[in-house]
Amino acid sequence: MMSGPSSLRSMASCWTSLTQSLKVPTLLKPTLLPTTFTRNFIVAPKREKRRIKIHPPIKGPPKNPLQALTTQALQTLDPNGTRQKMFSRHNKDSIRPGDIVQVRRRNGDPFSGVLLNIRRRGVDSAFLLRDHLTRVGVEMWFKLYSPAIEDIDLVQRKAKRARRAKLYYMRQPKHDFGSVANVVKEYTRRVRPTQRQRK
Amino acid sequence: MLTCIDNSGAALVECAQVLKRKKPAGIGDKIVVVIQKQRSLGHDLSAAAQAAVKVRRGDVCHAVVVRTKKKYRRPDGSYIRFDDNACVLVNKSGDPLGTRLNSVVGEELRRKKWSKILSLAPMNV
Amino acid sequence: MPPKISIWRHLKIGSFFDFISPIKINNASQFSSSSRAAFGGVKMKRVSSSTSPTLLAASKAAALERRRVPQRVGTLAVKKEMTAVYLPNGQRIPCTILQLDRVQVVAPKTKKEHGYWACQVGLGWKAPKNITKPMLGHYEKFGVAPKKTIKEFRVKDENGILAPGTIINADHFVEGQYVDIWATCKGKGFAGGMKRHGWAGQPASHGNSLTHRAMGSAGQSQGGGSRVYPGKRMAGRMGGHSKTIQHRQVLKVDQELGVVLINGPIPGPKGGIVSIQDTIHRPSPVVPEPHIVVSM
Repeated sequence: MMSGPSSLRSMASCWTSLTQSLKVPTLLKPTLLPTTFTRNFIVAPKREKRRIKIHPPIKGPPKNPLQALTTQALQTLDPNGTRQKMFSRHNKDSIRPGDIVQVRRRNGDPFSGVLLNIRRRGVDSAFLLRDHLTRVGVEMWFKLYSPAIEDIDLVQRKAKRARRAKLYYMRQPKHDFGSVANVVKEYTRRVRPTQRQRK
Repeated sequence: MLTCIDNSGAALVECAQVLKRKKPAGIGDKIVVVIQKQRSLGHDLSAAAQAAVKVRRGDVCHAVVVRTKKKYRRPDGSYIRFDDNACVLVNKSGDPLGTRLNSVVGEELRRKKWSKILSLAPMNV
Repeated sequence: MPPKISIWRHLKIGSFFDFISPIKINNASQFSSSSRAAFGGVKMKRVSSSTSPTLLAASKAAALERRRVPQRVGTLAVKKEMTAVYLPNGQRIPCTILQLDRVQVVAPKTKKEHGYWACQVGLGWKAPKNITKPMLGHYEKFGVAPKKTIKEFRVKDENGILAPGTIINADHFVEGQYVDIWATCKGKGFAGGMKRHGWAGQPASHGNSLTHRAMGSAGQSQGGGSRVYPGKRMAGRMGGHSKTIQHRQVLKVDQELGVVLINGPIPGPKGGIVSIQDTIHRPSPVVPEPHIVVSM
């Protein structure tokens, strides 16, 4: 039946798409359109791609707020920058591990001891002192910028620079400095006569 | 094992229980102790010295912790740490058994209402 | 008989057909479907069967009324480091820095449309190439730049709704006020019972062998039904889930740095996204209108 060349040709033409689109009658039910018919004769025109408008971002806050907050806090906690300088890595005359330090507290007796450790963390900077009171070893961590500290004095430098940053070995009886009371007493007599009078 | 720093006669005591707390005891906490070692009185075993000995080895007693090896944080962010754990013996009503303390105690006792112990202590930190 | 109704509904929507008239229909089934999508997203209105003026306790509206929801919208923030502040009496308080990085209201949610009052809030910025087109369209619709994270914050009523594009900065909060905070805590992976539930484990010695951190018994034998009860705590994934902290005080607010300092630690890693909203335990603070709307 379909042996002739004419029939073959007609089959081929049936599947070629049209160059121009046909309008679907608006009243025609789309569901009733035969699939073959829609596939061949309704061709969608090329629609322009709609560009999505992207709004620019607003200005963000500074990336490192901790640094700004720290400088802000230190302006009130350490207005002269003396304590900063006292424990700065860049200061040649700064307090270092091994030195004997006296801390005068706002409420409570002054505490002095050998400096075992410095923890530099901005506002949270702290240092560790060790002393013997009534022959019992006592260690105190002080927050460097705490308002409870009135003053920090360097009583005596370590004769030779400590070769460790943390002098925890000084807790061992072999290396323990013992009481610093005599050294501090000598210092108070020499440097701070006013303080002695007050006492 | 804690050292006992008063003159009640005990030298070393063992903690049997922490009172009113589930956590380990800190400075100012009351504990129950067993006296393990008595303070040596030396050669002069006079009647007065013997009378001063209020507790014997094996006695069960209440005590207040006055020093800890574990560091303790204070409200201003500072920490205090002692080289040993120590306590003072007290009776059930909270009065110290001894009349004298021989070493430093923690300041936390003031906040925990142990001012009687504080007044006996030679020093507080 | 669904197809008949669906076609009828289509014809009711006038502009729909004009738009698609010369179209290549490759999915004919979309026209015969009776799903809501076939109606062009129009939801059928539900009519209440009850004519009673009082709310039934079991009704959705009553549940919404009962729910403790803050008056004001919350915000997203980035967890930065921890630091400390000193009170005038010398007391040191550890606190966490939360930064409000380009936080903006993206979209409002209304009771009429969505069934509740809320604001969708976005934080940060994300390159548009990494965002799906539907989301880009969403941002475009409300005139907001693409956001790294968006999250909804429920509010009590329409007074809490802010306009899209409103910038929420640190001055949204007041120093001294209390907030609720929730964030995803750090994941610990597959953890045993001792770490996950704080169990005691077994002794290290006294004839014990190879059983030091095991969970122990999972229940009785015959008396308990010879089975493990549902909900028995065991080893498993720990962390990595949402954690809520209620009633935390705001210690400091810095508008320039976009920073809020919150008392104490906060769940999650540094750089993690945190949600903050006025606490449900106190009335919302009164804040003078600080919000700026970015008009685009």
